[in-house]
Amino acid sequence: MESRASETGTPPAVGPTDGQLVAQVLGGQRDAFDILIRKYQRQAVAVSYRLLGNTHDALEVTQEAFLKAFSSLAMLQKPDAFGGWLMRIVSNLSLNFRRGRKTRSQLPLDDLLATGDSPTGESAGGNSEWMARDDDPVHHLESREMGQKLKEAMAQLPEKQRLALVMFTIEQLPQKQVAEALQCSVEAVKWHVFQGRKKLKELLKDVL
Amino acid sequence: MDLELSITQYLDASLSPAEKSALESRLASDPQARELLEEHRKLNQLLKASPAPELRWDLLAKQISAAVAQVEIPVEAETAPRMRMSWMPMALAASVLIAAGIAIRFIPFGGGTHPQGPIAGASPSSVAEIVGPRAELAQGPSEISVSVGPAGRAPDDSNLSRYSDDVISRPAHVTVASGINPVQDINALPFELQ
Repeated sequence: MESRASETGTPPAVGPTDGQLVAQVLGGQRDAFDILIRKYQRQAVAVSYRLLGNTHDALEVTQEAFLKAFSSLAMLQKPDAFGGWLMRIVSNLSLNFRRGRKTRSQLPLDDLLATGDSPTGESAGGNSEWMARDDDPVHHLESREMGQKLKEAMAQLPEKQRLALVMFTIEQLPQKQVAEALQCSVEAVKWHVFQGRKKLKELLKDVL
Repeated sequence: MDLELSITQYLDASLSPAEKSALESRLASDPQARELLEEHRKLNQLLKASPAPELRWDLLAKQISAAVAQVEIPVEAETAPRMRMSWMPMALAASVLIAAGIAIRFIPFGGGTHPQGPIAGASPSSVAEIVGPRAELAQGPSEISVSVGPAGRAPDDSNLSRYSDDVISRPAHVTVASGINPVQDINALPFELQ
């Protein structure tokens, strides 16, 4: 399964590996980190968005995650696992973010939202559009209700199941990267995904 | 494999061709399996229905890069934390040794001499005397040898009979112990030259 990061201006598969880029940064080449930012920013925003429910907070967390990753880069034991390590930082920061949720204005959200492509119905308060977007108001309302139910059901899952579902099933990150992010084996990722799906199906049996 | 697990892995396209074929055969003949598949398919659609925000990624990258530019390149920190980590076990070991040394010096030993603990006012040097067994040369044989062979009852036991061939074919003589400390010749070769 391929990461969706490749859809968004990500550098092509050929080129320096993450491990080489990390080594270059540690060797003093700051530009190498820009490549890592472009490669992983979409994943970071998407994962954080799924966990926090709004774009503004996801952007805050994403920037903070990259800053943390940069300043801790020398501590990274397996430089080739940068992607999974970054997703671990993103998920940890996202899960901690609600405790100290605060509004900062470092990132001008309006400038960053692509025109006409932002998820409709979203506000900084945390709503999001979960189902297909169309102009049918009834469908729109049903979609929003369904989305809210899904959100509530997801919140009831154990943390690892929720993270596994977000990263693997929804964002379609490679299983190995998810395993690195969750600090478990690929088999354990499959198991968390399966258990998460089973529990979600039970919680949403009235609407499925 | 559990049917529901197979179905979820089927939707993730992570089943092997053989597993996929087996599941599809079952789906063709089992309405309950098809119903389970349909439920998971709907859940999948629901999970994937929400689009992630679309942003001006180039602009975001520049902003993050500008924020990162305020942070010093972690080159200097590269060696220090690793050195600190490599010294950590040694420091821990040194602490344990120091603590053990202090303990041997001051903690009372001597078995039944002072069963109630150290005597108040006794000097530490007087209670730290250790009396232990003396090393003595073993008087027994240099080797204890045991013969191993098929037991008479083994073929009669239904659980063991399938191993009887192994028992018969195994080495029949094994040295299991040495009664005295061998003299080790460090110049001796561990094998014989032909």
